[in-house]
Amino acid sequence: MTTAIKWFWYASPQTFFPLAGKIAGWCAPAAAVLAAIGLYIGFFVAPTDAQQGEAYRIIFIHVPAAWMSMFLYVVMAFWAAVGLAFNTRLSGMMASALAPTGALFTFIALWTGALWGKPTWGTYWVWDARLTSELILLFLYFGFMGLKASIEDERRADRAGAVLALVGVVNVPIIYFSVQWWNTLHQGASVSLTRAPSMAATMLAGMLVMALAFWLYSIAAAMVRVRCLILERAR
Amino acid sequence: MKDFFAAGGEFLAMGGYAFFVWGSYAVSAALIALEVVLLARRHKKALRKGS
Repeated sequence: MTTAIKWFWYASPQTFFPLAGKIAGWCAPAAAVLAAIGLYIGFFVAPTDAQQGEAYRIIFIHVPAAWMSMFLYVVMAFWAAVGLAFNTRLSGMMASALAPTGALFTFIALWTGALWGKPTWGTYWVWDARLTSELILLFLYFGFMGLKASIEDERRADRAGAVLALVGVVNVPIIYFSVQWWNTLHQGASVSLTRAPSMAATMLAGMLVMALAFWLYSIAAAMVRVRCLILERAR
Repeated sequence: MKDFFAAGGEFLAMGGYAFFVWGSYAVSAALIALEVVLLARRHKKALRKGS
């Protein structure tokens, strides 16, 4: 029972505000350190790829960014659902706090994908399932932010945004499984939980460290943004 | 020293893929830096007005 009380205690923006500051204060420097380690592994430890040469080094930013773009949307939709179910004010703010960082990583995934596609596929862009569904994800983030910004009343904006976020979450499994469901230029998953990774251990290490860095960065960014939202809405 | 610069040049050349590799990293780094700056500014402003 005590845990339940604690959860609702932190559901109050006023009590969450200092905690968010503390979390951001830890995650931001940790993200910077991990990014430095990840880049070092990516550029100086991981070997040159036998087929792609040095072009493959885009992987250390592309794959972690693509993972974050999908994961952040799911977390955003989760907070949206919590907000709809329990009518807690902080949930809507959490969803709002995650959206711009999610959009940022979606854009980075698309941008680095285009620059990786040119030397490996011979084209910056194709309208195939993986690329198109990721582009739709970017528009869903923009739509979510635009919709919330266009509604003056914050509680109504939270509810409208939450519905859009929840409807749009169906796109995430479509992105993830698109490489299996349809014929696509994009390669399948290089990392899965059920089989050994199809790449050198140091390449995988660099990618995972960068993914962890992006995770911590996203947490820090969301925490700082939620603090802004709490202060701005208090006025 | 000459070797050092030669090695540096080779590193920057990325085996002929410099435009694609550095284009990816530069734009990503710039956008993340932009988010950090914008967030820091917004946070500072919110704290000042909040008190």
